Parts: sequence; structure tokens; C-alpha cells
Amino acid sequence: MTVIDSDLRPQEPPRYVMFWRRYRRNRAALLGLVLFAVVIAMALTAGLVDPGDPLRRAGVPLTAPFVDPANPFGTDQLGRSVMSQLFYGARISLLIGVVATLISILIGIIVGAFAGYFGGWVDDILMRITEAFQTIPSFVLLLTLVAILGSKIEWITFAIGIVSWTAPARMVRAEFMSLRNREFVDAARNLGVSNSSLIFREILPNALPPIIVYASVIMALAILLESALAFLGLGDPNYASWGNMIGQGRAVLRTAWYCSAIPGIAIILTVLSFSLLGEGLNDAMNPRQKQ
Amino acid sequence: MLVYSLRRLFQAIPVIILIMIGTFLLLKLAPGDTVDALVGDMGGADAAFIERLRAEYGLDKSVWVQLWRYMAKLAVFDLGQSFVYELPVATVLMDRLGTTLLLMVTSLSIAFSIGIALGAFAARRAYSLTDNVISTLGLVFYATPSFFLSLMMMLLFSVKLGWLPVGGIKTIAGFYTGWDHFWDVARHLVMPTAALSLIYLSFYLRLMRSSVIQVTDQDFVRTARAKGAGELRLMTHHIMRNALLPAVTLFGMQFSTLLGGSVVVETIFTLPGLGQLAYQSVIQRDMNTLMGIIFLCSIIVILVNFLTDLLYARLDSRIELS
Repeated sequence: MTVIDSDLRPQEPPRYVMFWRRYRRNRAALLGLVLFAVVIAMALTAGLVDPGDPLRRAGVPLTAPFVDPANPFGTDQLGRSVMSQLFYGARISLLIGVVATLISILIGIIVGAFAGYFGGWVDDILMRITEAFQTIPSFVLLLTLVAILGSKIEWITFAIGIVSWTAPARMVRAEFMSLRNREFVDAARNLGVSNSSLIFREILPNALPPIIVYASVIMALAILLESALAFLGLGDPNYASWGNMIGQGRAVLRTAWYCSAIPGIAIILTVLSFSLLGEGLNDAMNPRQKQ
Repeated sequence: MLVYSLRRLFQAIPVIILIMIGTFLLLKLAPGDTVDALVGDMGGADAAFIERLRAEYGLDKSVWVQLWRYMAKLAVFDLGQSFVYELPVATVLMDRLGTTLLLMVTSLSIAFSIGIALGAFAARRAYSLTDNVISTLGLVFYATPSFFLSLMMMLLFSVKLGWLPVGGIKTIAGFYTGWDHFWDVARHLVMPTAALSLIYLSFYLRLMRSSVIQVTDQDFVRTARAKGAGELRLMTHHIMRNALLPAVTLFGMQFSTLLGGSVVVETIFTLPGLGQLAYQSVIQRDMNTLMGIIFLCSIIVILVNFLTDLLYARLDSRIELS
């Protein structure tokens, strides 16, 4: 019997295979994946490309690209290698992007879940707080937070997370409001499952897919925010950062524009890769939405 | 309808109070206060004088007393004194508001109108080469940091070509009047406006493209076409009116982000607006001015959202706001 059954109904491939098949249909998303892999590879190989400190003097200041084989992308006004800073900068961008996104999504899930699940005055209070955060221009709040907390990389990451949780909170809240009275939740509730289990075990897994897609947007914004801070000279001075390279390159824009152009292109390609990845994930997770 | 909008406006008051209390307490966490900054500028002072200064500014009281005093003054729109400019904060803000509003209004109008037109244009030729080119450009501009775009424009148009001024709002000691003054300011605003609008344009473009594609598939559009409506009329009367709704919502939501974006652009182009002032106040620890900026920006954002609500209800007659 079993033999006949499996003959009639070919076994569906595992979920990740289906996911990949749907993902690869979007060619732009594949490009995003490639770009993303390149940035990760840069971050991972930074130590191999240049085992030393990327912020040390590595050659004659303001060497143009492709002149000195030791510094293929040239050097800046302090003689620091543009290429090593670029590779180490990838680490910082990715690190800040990932951790800040996790922080913002964590806050967003907690706020949104409580507001959407409990409703009533809990929802009122949490939503007023969310509105307050949405009303203040986030970059002004970010500047203020960094001015108060200081420019250490941990605090910058934390501050970026703090200014970007409102959108995920609203999304989680909307999902919770539509899911909280579904049958499966009622069934679990009637079995005596506690509120916290209902929230985190029953509803949350069903509310997650749109949040995961949105994470790519937050990641892109986090990288842009970090680079803008570093550009204004408020980044952590102990690490090579793309934004900071552009900020420093501004002083020599006339003569050595490559000092700011190269890290600028790196930021564009990285942020672009996240946008494309996000679109691909969206197509793969909600296959019906886009037909 | 108006009653609903006014009620929403009143609901914004607790939000503003929340913002101001939060910001006040946050700023009190900062190491060092205004007196420390002042004394630092003076190159040190004796302890008795420092005590007197603290008492004069009310900084010797507890945080909660200070908070209460600040909020009480705020209730009558007294924002206090700027320690850097030695002027009332309100005067400093009003001096800067015009530049920022000018920058916002021009950038947003350009971003909104061109973004919507391009988005609708791309949607009508969905998945064609034209659409791919437009959509890809939109994604690239979305990924470009405004400061990088600003620098590259500066390099091309000011340094290499010498067409546009590198910064400022007008030619210093130009003393232009009338139309000359207008053109002078316009020339100074070209690059900052372009830097801000190209990025926000991509938001509207992407949103408009997907919403026009969605609306075009709906039954009422097919019905209108079947009844013999021309393609142009179909676009302007049937599709656009519905597809515009999400873009209008985004307009309200994006405004506070745009105000934040003006910090970077105004700082790069040395435009004397609120964004540049915000950056300077953070660096110089001019807390009263910073609080004032946050207060003013919050009010502007809430007003813009109020106006978009009204516009939204006007565009979509199905909405009965109550």
C-alpha cells in the first residue's frame, strides 16, 4: 500500500528546498545573496588581508589606488591603507547591523506582543510610548543618545536598536491582534495554558514571518545610521568604519576623492544586498502575495 | 470628520508631554551639566562661583524639581535660554526654522511628485526593461547614504565643474535683493534638495509601483475599461486615486525621518537650519536648545500627520472618520 501511495503522490521535498526554489526565482534576490556573501567574506578575511591594525600607517600618505601593490586601494591622508580599512569596516558594519537589528526586534516583539495580546490600557500606554518614539526624528534621538552614552561601539549599537524598534512593534501588535482570538489560541487557552506560553509559544511563531522579512530593512537602516554617525565623527574612533572613512576623506575630497568614494560604494552595495535579500525572502515566504 | 481630526490632535498632547519628560530625564543622565560646560569654556573657576552659577540656573535642586519647573515653563511655550547663543531658545529656533522648512518642502514635493510619477510609469510597464531600469535605480538611491551622495555631488558640481556653491544658504556679502536673492538661495539649495529628495523619491517610487500594479488588477478598473474609459482617464480617475492612499500615509510617516535626515545634509552644506543646530547643540551640550528642537520637531511632525489625515479622508471617500 505504502508503495502505491508514494507512487501516486510524489513526496514533497523538504521545506528548505521549496524555500530555496522559490527564492532563486527572483534573480535580483540572487544578486543580493551574492553581494551579501561578498560582504561576509570581507568581514571574515579582514585578518588575513591585513593581520595588523587597519588604523596604522601602512604607506606613503595619499597614494592613489593601483599604484603601490602593498596598498591596492591606495592610502588616506594619514597613510592608512584604504583596503584594510574597507575589510575591517565590513566587520563593524555587519556587527552593528546584526546586533542592533536583534535589539530592535526584541524590543519590538515584547512591546508589540503585550500591546496586541492584552489590548485595553496596556495597549494604550504602550502605543503612546511607540508614538512618542515615532514622533521624535530618530536621527536627532540617536545623536542625543550617543552624546550621553558616549561613542563606544556597544553603546552605538544599543542606541541604534533603541531608535528603530517602533516599526516591528507595530507589525507584531497587528499580527497579535488578528491572531489572539483564533481557534487554536482559544483551544490552548481552554486547556489552561498560561498567558506567557500563549504569547511566546502559540502566537509568536505565527507572527514571525513578516518580522523576519522586515529585519532586512532594519539591518539596512542600521548600517546607514551607523555610517552617518561615523561620518559626523561620532563613531567609535578605535575601529575602522566606512562612514568614518568617508568623513575623513571629505578633507581631501579635491585631491583624493577615492578615499571617500570607495567606502561609499561599499555602503551602497551592502545596503542594496539587504534590500534585495529582503525582497527575495518576502517572495519565498509569502509565495501567493506577488502573483 | 473635523471633530475626529481635532480629537486626534488633542491626543497628541500626552505624546508630546511624554517626549519632553523622557528627553529631559535622558539629558540629565549625561555626565556634566551646563555649568560644567560653561566653566570649562571659561577655563575653570572657583568652587563658590560654580555653586552660585548652579543656584542661578536652578541646577542645585533635585532632578524632579527641575523637571517640574521646565514643564511648567513649557506649558506657556517658554523654552528657556540657550547657553551657547545667550538668547531665548525660541528666538534661536525661529531664526533657523525657515531654512529647514524651505529645504523640507522643496525636497518632499520633488520626492513625492517625481516618485509617484515614476512609480506609476514603471507599474504600467511592469517587468519591462524600462521598469527594471527605474526600479533598480530606485533601489540604488535607497541604498545611498545622503552624506555620500552630497559629497559626490559637491565633488562633481562644485569642485570639478564649478557650477554650484559648496555650502551656505546665500552668498556671504552678496547683498542680493528681489529676484537676484531668490536665484542665489535657489542655487544654494540645489544640491541639499537633490541629496534629500533622491533618497526619499525611491520610497515613493517603490510604494507607488507596487500599489498601482495591485490596483490595476482590481475589478472596478476592468469595469471602467470595459465601459470604454481611455487609458489616460483610467489612470487619473480610477487607478491613481486609489493607489495614492498608501503614498499619502507614507508622506506623514516619513516626515520625522526626513527631519532627521536634514541633520546630516544641513551639516555638510553648512545650511543654518534646525538640523545643523541639533548637531551643534549635541556637540556643545546646549541642552535647552536641544530640548527646544525636539519639542518643535515633534509639533511639526504631529501637524504634518494631522494634515495627511485630512488629505487621506478627502482622497478616500469610503473612509468615515469617527
